Amino acid sequence: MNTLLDRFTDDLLPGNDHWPAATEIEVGAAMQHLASTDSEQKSLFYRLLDFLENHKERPALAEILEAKDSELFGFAKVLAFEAYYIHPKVREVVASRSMYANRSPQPAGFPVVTRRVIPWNEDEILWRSDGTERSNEVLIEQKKDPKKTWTVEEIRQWRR
Amino acid sequence: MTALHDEVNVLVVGAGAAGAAFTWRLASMGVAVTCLEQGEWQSPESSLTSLENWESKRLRERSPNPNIRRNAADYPILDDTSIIKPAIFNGVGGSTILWSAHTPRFRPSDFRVKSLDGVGADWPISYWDLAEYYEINDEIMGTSGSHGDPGNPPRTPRTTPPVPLGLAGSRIADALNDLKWHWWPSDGNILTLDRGSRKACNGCGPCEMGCATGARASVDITYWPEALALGAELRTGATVRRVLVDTTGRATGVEWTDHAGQERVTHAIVVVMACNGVGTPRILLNSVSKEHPRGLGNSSDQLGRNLMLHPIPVVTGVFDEDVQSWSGNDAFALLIQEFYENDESRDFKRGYEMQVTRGQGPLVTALGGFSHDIPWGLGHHEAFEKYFGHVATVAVTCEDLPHPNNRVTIDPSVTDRCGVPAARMSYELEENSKKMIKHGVKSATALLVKAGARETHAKPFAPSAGFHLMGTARMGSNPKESFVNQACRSHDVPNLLVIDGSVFASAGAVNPTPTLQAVALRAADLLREDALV
Repeated sequence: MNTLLDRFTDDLLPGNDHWPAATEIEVGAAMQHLASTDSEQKSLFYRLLDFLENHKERPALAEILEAKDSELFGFAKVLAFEAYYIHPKVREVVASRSMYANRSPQPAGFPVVTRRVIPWNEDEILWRSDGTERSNEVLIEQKKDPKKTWTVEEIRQWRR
Repeated sequence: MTALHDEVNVLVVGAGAAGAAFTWRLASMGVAVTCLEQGEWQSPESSLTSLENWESKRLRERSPNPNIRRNAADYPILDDTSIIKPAIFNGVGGSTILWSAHTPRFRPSDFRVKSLDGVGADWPISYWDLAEYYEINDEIMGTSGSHGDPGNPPRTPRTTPPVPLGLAGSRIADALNDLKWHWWPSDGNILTLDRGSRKACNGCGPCEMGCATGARASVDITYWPEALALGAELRTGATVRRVLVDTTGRATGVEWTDHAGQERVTHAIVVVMACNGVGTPRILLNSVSKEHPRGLGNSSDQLGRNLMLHPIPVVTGVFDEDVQSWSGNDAFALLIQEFYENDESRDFKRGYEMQVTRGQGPLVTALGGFSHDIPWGLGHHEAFEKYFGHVATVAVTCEDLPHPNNRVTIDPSVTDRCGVPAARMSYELEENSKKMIKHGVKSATALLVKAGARETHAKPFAPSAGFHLMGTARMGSNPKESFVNQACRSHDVPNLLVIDGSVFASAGAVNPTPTLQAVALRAADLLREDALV
């Protein structure tokens, strides 16, 4: 793959003891593949390669691109991050470094850990009358019995 | 090419939230209804959430922005003149295919903002006219939640219990109890128990990519199967180009193009527009004639104006605890309406609600999630580990006031696949919104800090959040200031109805879908009562 693109992606996503560097999982090739599905993205991708070629003597390619062409940098960053974070090896690292269940959302879903909390204001009616007689009637009823179970038939009577 | 002609009774354009509800209601009364939808049916698998690279799909094929997604059924919406970008879907189910199904209702005061608070415009109907229709809609869509919210008028018991608060939601609920701010478990069209063929939510997360289990409602699995069983007809792949009128000023039907590119004309007794706050004015503005030179029914010049979008500032809190924020339905668990109503002591009119949303998957977190760019380069992985699973976001839905210059127009320099000129969105934040945003960010930040967030990050508005499209063919009593009357009928063209979010005279500060569905159900009843069909 393009060594300039490798340099650029490793600037963005360098490796460490836990995380692979972008080049270790061939992010550059994946970026090219992702961009190939859309003519607009393909054209931006070639613009990126041209930019890198024109600045190949400079040491910090990502920094230069961000400073000189923020729009192209934004495109390249999203594409590189996309290629990186959908890679199975990176997903494994995410799971090992957090409580993330390393699988697609479906079909199993994820258990939602939760706790029950009761609202403090269960009995204090807080909505505002619209100035109509109906509004005032309902407010009085609701204040009398905030926990009343209403039926559709009762609610239908509110219609003018 | 010679157009093929046919004739129907009631013709609905658009098979989304409003079109489905309206069609079902009329069909249930034995009325013959035909609906034209430019997109296709969506399979449960089309959510793509079973794929390993699901997050990549979210940025592309399942993007809510039609200009990014560019499906065959999508039409161009020019948005360089709008700071908030469109988020819609074209297909059977409309934008409910990619919505998060948060379904709070308008409050009674939302219908009388001019009379009560001196801003915007009043609706010619009240909350009380819609209350029973909210109930009908909740039942058909399937609504989780908990009745008894003191912040709203009473409603019936919900279909299933509310979605779980989650670890972050529980922390924030504790903080709200300490602050003595209003909160309540949100109503949502997400089932927490099995119901028929629809399964209980399994907490997978990305609701807005579509729901593979059917826990999260969309009208293709709720209203449409029932409407079709009642005899309604739905034609897909039908791109409507314009509404036709005769010399007496009545609508006679629509011109459209089918899957194969065949031009067609369908004549109808009544034409009903349900294409959302951008799509409806686009078709009507494109329907010019000698009698209607500014667009169909547009003698008031109100068509396309008063576009309201809900500016949504977001504040993300970062917690030391891993709150597993990648799990659970993504957009809501509880709603906070402490600052909903007008308060003369504040420097802005009307108010806002806050809702607690979850975090995101790995890719979207790395890209900054809702509100915070994390660094690239040497500090990236450390920052990612600090945020991923450790965040909760409070989204602040600000009431938007109508302004004539915030609008939808047509731009013939760009056309869709059938040669129909594109819509253009022009939208800027008004001073009132800017002040409200500032207040909302302050409140959301205080809440997250109280809940134990060690740091917070705010974004003044979410630029991608153009999913609440309202006001562009608004309802009113005065034909000079509105497009439709209280029955959703055009002031100028008596057999033309608009039933989607375009008719909203005010925006409220809540998600509009249950309200627009209630409006559509009521419009169907009124049409039948008046024996127009």
